[in-house]
Amino acid sequence: MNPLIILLPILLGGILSLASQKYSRFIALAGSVLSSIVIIFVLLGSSFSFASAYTAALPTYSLNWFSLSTLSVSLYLSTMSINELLLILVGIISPLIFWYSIGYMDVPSENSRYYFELSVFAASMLLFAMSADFITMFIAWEGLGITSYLLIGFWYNKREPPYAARKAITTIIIGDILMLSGILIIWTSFHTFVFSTLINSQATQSTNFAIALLLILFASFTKSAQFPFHEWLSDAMEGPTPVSAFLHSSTMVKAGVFLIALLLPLYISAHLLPVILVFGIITAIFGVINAVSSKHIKKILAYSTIEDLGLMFVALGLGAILAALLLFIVQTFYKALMFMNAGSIMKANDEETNIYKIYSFGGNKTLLAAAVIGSLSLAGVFPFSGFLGKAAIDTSASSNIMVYLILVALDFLTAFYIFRWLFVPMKQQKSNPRDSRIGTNFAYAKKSMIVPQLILSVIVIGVSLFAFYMNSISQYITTTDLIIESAVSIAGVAVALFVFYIPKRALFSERSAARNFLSKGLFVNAAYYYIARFVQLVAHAIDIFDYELNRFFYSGARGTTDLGNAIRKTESGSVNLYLTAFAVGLIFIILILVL
Amino acid sequence: MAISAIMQMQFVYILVASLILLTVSNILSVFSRRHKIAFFGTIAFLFISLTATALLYASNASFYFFSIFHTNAFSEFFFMFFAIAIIMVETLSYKYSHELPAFSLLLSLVTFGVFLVTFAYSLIAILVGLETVALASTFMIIMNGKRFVEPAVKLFILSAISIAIFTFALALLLPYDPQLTLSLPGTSQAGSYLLGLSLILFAGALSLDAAAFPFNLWVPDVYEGSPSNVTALLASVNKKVSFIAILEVFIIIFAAYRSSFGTPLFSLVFFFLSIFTMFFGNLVALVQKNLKRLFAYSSISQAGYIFIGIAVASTAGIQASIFYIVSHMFMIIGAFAIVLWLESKSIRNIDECTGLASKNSFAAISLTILMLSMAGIPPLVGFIGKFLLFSSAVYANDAVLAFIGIINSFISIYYYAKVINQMYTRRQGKKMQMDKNIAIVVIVCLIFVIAVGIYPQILISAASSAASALGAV
Amino acid sequence: MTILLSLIAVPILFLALMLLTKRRSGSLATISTFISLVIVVYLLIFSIINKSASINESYSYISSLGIGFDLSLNSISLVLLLMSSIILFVTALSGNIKKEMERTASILLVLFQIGATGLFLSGNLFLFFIFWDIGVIAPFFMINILGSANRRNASYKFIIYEIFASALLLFGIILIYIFAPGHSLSIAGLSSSLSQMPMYVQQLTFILLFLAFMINMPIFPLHSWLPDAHTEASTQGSMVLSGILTKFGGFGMLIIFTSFTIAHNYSFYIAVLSVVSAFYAALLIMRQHDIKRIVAYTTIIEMSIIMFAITAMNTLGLYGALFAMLAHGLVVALMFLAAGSIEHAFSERSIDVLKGIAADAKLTSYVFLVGILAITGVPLTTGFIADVAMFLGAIGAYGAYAVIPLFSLVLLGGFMYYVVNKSIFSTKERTQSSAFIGSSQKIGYAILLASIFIFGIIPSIILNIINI
Repeated sequence: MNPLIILLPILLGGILSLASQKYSRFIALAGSVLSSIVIIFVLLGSSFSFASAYTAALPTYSLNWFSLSTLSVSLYLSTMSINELLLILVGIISPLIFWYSIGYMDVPSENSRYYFELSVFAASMLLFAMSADFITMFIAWEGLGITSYLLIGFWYNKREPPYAARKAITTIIIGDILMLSGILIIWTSFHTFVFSTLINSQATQSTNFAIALLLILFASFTKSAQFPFHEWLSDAMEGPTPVSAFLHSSTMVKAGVFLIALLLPLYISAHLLPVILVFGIITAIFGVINAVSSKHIKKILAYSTIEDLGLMFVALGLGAILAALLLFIVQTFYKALMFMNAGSIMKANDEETNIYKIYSFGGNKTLLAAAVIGSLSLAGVFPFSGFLGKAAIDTSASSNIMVYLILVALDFLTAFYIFRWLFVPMKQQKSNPRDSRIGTNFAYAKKSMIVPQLILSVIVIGVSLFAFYMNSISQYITTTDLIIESAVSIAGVAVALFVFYIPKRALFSERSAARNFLSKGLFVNAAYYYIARFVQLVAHAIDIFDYELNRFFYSGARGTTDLGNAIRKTESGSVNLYLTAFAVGLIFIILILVL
Repeated sequence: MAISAIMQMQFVYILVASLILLTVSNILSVFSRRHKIAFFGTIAFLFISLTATALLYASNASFYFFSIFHTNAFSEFFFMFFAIAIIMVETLSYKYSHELPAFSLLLSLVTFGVFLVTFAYSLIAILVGLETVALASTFMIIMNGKRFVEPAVKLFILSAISIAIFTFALALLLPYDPQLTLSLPGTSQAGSYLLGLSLILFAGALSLDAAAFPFNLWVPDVYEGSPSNVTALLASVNKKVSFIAILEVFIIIFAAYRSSFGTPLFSLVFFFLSIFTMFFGNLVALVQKNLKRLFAYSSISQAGYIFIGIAVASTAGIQASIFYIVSHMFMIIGAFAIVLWLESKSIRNIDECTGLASKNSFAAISLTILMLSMAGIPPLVGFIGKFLLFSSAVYANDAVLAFIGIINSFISIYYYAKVINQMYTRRQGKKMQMDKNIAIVVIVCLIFVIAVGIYPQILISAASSAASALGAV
Repeated sequence: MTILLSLIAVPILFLALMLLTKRRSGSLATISTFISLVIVVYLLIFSIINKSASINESYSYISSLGIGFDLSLNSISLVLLLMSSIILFVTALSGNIKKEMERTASILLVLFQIGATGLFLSGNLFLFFIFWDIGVIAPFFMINILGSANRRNASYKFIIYEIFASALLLFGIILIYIFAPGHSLSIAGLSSSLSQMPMYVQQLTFILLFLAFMINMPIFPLHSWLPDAHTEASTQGSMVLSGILTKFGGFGMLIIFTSFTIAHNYSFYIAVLSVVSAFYAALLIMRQHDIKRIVAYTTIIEMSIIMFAITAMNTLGLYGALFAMLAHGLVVALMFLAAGSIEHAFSERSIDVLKGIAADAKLTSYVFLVGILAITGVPLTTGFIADVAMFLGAIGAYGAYAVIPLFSLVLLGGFMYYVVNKSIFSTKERTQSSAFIGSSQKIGYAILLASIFIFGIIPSIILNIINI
């Protein structure tokens, strides 16, 4: 079956939802569900095996696009191995998000726009999942970037979102251009865009090749929010929460990881793994520190996403593709769950985002249960599925003690900050009387927002059960690591409990000095600012130069006119002058002839 | 068309007779003071002479007559265009001249002078012709009132000097050719200082008439001072007649007078004259505020372009000059026709033209087209002329001349654009009606400028046959 | 066949008609451009079916100089002709948003149509020059008569630069005319006639023509006419100036870089210059506040990149540049139409004052956004195909470092989105008149958007002609 059919229902849904504000949500949901059903049909019969998931599949479908002399571009799609994996993940998450959005989006006048943009995003993501060559991938990549930009700035009539969108798009453009440069250089060396051909072609060692791979790596960093391009992701939380759950945690941001995982054999042959490892570790550290210090209910989760992505790159840097993919799979579910949960809480608290000001759950046990399951999974406590990824990465780092220690420390802090996220608002609820404005809306928690969370909770637990059932975990995780990982996580949870929940007064208040220092985002934003200032200064200098250049040309014109004026002054209109000139002229002619 | 020599001679008779009748009818109309008779008489007889010349031209006539004249493609070609120019000047002057009969009479004298110069086979005829044209136009200026005495006197003095020098130069030629015919002097010439002196004096005298730098200082004063219809005549007929004289004198008589490199010496003279004239005209035009002075300087610079072809001194160059002389005749008459009309609405300076486009769009558009043509913008006739001139210069290894010419036409766009800028400035004002006679002249010029610009082949071949009739170098 | 002649004759006839009648000149201009568009589309289909885009017509012109009225169509000119026809039609149909001075505007547009059509069709350099100047004079008046507040200085600057360019061009053409064997000015035979010229003439001619085209494109440091001219021109003027006029230079560059063998000696230096030019303009754009000026600067960046690709002098680079000209022409016309619409609706062009345009003018806002996408080369728009082909060509010629100019698009895109988030998709501060968009303008948007996406999604329409 032509895999492009998968895109059809969801794109159609998106376009049709433009037609009607009122029914757009149902149309879009229907499109999304249909697409997922089509995915099942397409994948029917293909056997998926996780162990071989990372191999770049041979394209199952190709479409000639255009050709110009030696350049001939075709679009290659694949629904095998790693592509299949991402396709399934997106196929599961996408309908849930659309469903959740029905409850979340309560501004009817913006529905069409929202569902159109979200559907185009989902279609791009599906296309990305299927892409088996650089051009198809790049088309999807740009689609992701633009829809992400539009969705972050969705509430453009508010104050913050336009700025957040601007930051995101700047990073996105840098990534796009890096990616395009890399792709083009690769083509010039190998005359192919197809992943499998590239990987199987025993890539030669050339500087150009390494440059191209680095360009692609940094492009992936922009999309997957790696240092130094990670700050856009926390600002991206200005977008609607379903968008955060969908784009900025579970699917789009992992495009970079996915791509690098796919191309990892090339990086191995070019000896670029240490670069990936170093940037992964730095990012994970940055993510954790920011998550610990932030007080924004969604930004904590965003930094956690940054950390997760960093860990995935660490795994890739260690050459452990399967460990990375394990975290890749489980993170999708628990992070989507956490964001949906956060969205519900924010809705109930009149869009308040400061964890020190909001009340969580308001006695809504379903929400609480979902939050706890999500948090435990994120913290990596056995048997909630999050541990699968984290322990697997620990295992793959076991030969490198430095990295291993860092990872364990990060695991501890992860458990700590995510339970801070959970406990601080709960504590608020316990100690303060009910505010008139905030936390009153739990009674109205909509089913369409709750049910997807329940489904995801079941998946979060189910994945690990499934893994045990398949009895294949031991291949990737040693028991020691499993125990260490869980123990460290539980220790983190316990510390959080003692710091934030049990004491009468919180140990780290909203405005502690340490928190203030850390909340500066470790000066990455300041660095962005100074870079922007520098570019502006250069632009200013160029502007001055341009003005002078203009003046230079102008003074050339001016000079000509002045010359004209000077000559004109010789004219007085007297006949004497004419006669003198005549005599001069005659002498002049004589001179010409004599000389 | 096989036309016998006898018939061709009859055309000559008709031509001469129409010129005489033109004068006679105008003398009569001066006495009767009837404007209409003067006007239509002049037009009619000029048309007859034009037709006769056209018939001569069509029959490829080339022979001598009355012992001091000869007719060939060159003379017929130019006389036709001069006749058209004079008709246009007469049309312009209708309503714009207080004394149309007297004006017409003087105009018929100009025509006669033009006839003498174009058909001349003797230097004496050229001398008399130039003198007639100059004197007649002096009177045309002065008859308009006291205000016009100064430019008239200036013009008179200058033409008197020019003629005196011309006569002297002519006298120096006597040893070589006692008949003073317009032909190559028979005896060996190289190194002859007498001939050289003659060349210098001729160059001086004729450059004074043709307004080459530095002999051009009188031009703006006289052009500005004269009534615009006379200015149109001065710029189109008087000046171009002196170009005819230059062509005839230098190309024919001094063709073989060469330097040790083998180039004709006169071409060296005109090489420098051309460069200086172009630069002078254009640079000074840049700072002009008065419309008439602007066109005066512009026509000086245009003279510089024409000199390129003469300096090149090849068939292609002469052909290009001839083409450009004719084209400029139409461009400048059209321009001065509009200036004449603007003056009657008391618009004299460039900044008074503001909003002309909204007051009379026809005038604005026509002036724009004429100026663009002068600046050498295709597909107008000025461009074709410049292309011919510059390519002839490059072909003769005078690429410097072409380059300077191109630089100059670039400079010229600056002051033309200044006028255009003013005209199209939006300003509400009451509409201004253009007189029919002026409109007709402008339309004729526009048709010429556009039509010949788009399809120049006919005029180019005519110019080329005129050039070869002149006896190219 | 006289089909090429008819392409030039149609606007001439309509021009005459418009000069003679006083009314309905707007519709006449639309009809004139529409007929041209139909003929060009017919030629396109005809070329695709026949697998040959080559038509030559020759009429007698100035026979004594050996110059004929030669019209010739090849794949390059067909692509540019297609672009200019689409833009001209949209410009005529929807460019005159203010509906003022309609007659003058329409006459000038049709005059420009003569110039543009003739230029892309001209078979010899003489005609090339003639149509070049017609194409320069018409926009001059579009700025001078129809422009906004500072139009006089802008038009002055424009005409001085452009006439300087055409003076250089004329000198170059005269040199070719004199030195070419048989005084042949034929563009198709240019390379063979150049090979028989002395080396110094070739060098001089190359430099002259290059400078002329460089001013027109424009490339730093001879670019400063462009921002003023584009900003002050009427919407129609800006559309044709950026969309078509700058392509005159690009077309000329394609001609000289395919004809002059000595271009190899200069290509690297020119490439460096065009990279400098791209970054120069990309940095300058950040200092701009006028929305039309911003769009104008994108033209310099794009044309610099096109120049860069041309210097690669390989098939991909040259045809990529050709495709990029098509792409950029369509996009920039779209953006100027949108900018004109914004100016008309809000009587304001400064991004410091404009806020929350999207609230009042939703359609225009999204059109502007799509324009930015196409300029930054997002796939499925024409810009992507162009970028891929151009930079593959450039990398082939200069190695991996040839991707450097791509990064000027980062600066460009970054700033454009800054503008979008500052003025278009932002908080609305003061109440503004609701922006009504006429149906003619919607059709204009639709045509340009459709062309951008059709040629972006099915580039084979164009590339099949090029591949012939």
